[in-house]
Amino acid sequence: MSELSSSELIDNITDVLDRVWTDERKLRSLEANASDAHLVQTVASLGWFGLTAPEADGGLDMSPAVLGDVARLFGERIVTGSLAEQMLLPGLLLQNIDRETTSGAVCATLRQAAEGTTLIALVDHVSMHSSFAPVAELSVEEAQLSGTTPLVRFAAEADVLLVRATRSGQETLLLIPADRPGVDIRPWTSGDPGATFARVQFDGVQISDEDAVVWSPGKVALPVLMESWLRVLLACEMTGLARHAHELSIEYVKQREQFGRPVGSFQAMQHLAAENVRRRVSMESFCAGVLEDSAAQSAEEFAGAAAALKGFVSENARVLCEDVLQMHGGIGFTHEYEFHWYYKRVMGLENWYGNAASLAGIVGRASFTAGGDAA
Amino acid sequence: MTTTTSAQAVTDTESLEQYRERARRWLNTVTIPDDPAEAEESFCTLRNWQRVLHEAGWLGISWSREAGGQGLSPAHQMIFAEESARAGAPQPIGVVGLEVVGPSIDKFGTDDQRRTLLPRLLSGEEIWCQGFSEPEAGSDLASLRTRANVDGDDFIINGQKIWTSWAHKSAWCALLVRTEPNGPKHQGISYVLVDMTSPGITARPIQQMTGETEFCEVFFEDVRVPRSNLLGELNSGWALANDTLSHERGGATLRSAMEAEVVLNEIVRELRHHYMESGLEVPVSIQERLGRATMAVRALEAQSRFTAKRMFKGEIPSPYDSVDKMTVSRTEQLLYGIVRDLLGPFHVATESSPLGLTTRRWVRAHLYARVSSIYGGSEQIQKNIISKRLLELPHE
Repeated sequence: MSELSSSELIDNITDVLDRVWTDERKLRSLEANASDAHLVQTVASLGWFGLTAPEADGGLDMSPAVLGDVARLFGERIVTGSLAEQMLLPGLLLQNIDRETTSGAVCATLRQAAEGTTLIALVDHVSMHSSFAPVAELSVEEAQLSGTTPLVRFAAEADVLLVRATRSGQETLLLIPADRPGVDIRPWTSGDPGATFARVQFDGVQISDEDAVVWSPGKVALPVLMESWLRVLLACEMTGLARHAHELSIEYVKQREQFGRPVGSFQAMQHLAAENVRRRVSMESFCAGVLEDSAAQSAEEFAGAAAALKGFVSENARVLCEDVLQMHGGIGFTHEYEFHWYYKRVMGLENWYGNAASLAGIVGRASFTAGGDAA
Repeated sequence: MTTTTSAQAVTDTESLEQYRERARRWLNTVTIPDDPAEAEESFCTLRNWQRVLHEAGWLGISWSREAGGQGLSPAHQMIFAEESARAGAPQPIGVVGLEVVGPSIDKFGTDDQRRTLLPRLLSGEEIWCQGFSEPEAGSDLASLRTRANVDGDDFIINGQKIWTSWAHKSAWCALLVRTEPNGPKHQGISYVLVDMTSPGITARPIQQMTGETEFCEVFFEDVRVPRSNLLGELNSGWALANDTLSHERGGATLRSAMEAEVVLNEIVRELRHHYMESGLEVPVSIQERLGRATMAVRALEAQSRFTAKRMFKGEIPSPYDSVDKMTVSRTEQLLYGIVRDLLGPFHVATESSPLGLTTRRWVRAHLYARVSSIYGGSEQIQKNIISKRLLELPHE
């Protein structure tokens, strides 16, 4: 593979989106909550599902931090499906698993995912982290996996499930085929135009050591690393979505006339717009700062930064969109105008892996228990 | 106090990281004063602190050597500001002169103005105030009415200023005056440097809601000022004032970000100590509030990195200074608002310390945080700037 800088990567992905992600395809995908097969194939053919996979596994060995800008771009262009997640997970796992103890079958499946030929869905109770309704962890007892995760993104389309569970009191990761006996996947009607959701039930699913995704005892726990990176990428994607929504509002208030002049000339509108600039700049700088620091931080520091970022962006992106809706007036409430896709997408991501309230609890608790400084 | 690690030891070969290290070492060796709550005591303490900083060469870091500065880069200046905030050091008394007026004199002043005024400004021997706002020209600064009429080689100044910090203690005032009453209001303003001992000046302190008297109203009655005290060109004061205000907005972001971090850590330490001593669990509601504060403080820190990059590239003034100012005041208000909530009913009992938090100190900090969205151009003015200059929204 030739070496690729992160700015070249963004340029290349921008080119692909310009060519492939047409308004027509985008609208069709949003209406169906679906990913676009042609876009997925294009990304796979370019080797981008293996961006963060080791070279030995056919990847480009890039830092997951490059995916931050990719996720932001996907947000701006409202790319549907699990592209960002699929670009992260196989590479991150291949980089961090213990090759001695992880089975050849798991490694082979991860390599296929890094090539884009196998779709992974992540079954993780933490994705539903909430202050109000905690979701029970899945557990493995006597080689059987049992329990239910009420919301799993992209489970109905997935070839394999990456399951976070406890086994003998220890956190564990399992990679199992989605059609293994005892796995019951029931799709919901999704309110997020960019993602499908399903309830996944495990009813005494047989588990063996061959299914385990094992990390070295001395290394950071993989589920925590995945959770941190997913929070960062979700924040970056929401920042991109919010940026586009903000741009829509500015364009609109410059054109829309009432009382004989553009509504953007009224101070009430101008102040809403300026407030959104503040939110946008804060979110974008925070994303960039966390990505910049990621390489030099310990896993614990990175987890704290990721939780703070996701909490901050979750609230700011949603409130930004709500002000954008207000600036548009009635047209913003219509299905025909594109804004609602962005708002619904932001709301879909707002609560995934924690929202402002639940993550504030995590961040605040850490500052009391860590013994170090809060910021 | 030792001077062996002072800024005077700077060599051309020293990297920015080495400079930071030296600043840290110096701040570790020097006795950093607490800022007393009482105004007079505070004035004396902070003036002395300015002398200490000046003698060690940590003031005017990016100013020209001719002006008594160190002739280093804005990056050096920022590093020291950051390290100083990290060490919990207060701002020296002459902050208006050091961060706002001084850089404008260094940039736009004559050789004579730089040589005669700036060294004494740096040392703290002479304190400066900034005479911009007037009773009828607050947010609408360009409507200022204080007149300066030319009389031979002098200006004769008449009018009134308000919200002038430390005017009653100042030796000099950077004064905005109207020198051309006709024509567009932005174009008839000049920037004049006024000796506060001149006959005809009266400075009356105004007591603030904090109980302190830092602000003043200042009256000018037939005050004679030499024309040689004009900064820049006649009627070009508006551009200079904007330059001055951009120093106030942009540079303050970096220091404010670090101060917010230091304060947050201090609050957490005090609470942690209280709960450890009492053996009680930290309530979830407190954890969540501290979590929200942490998010905001981290976001501000990340934003300040972009400010630093803009400053390095010379992209100041910029409408992003206004974005920064909004972020800083919002963060401070969130942070101190949380402490106010934690004090609860005890916030009225000045000597109390509920949850280990010192009421007197935190109530004062909270009140000051409320004014951060008013001074230096209110939040609403910043929004006007952002919508006009950054978003290019149409004028009314």
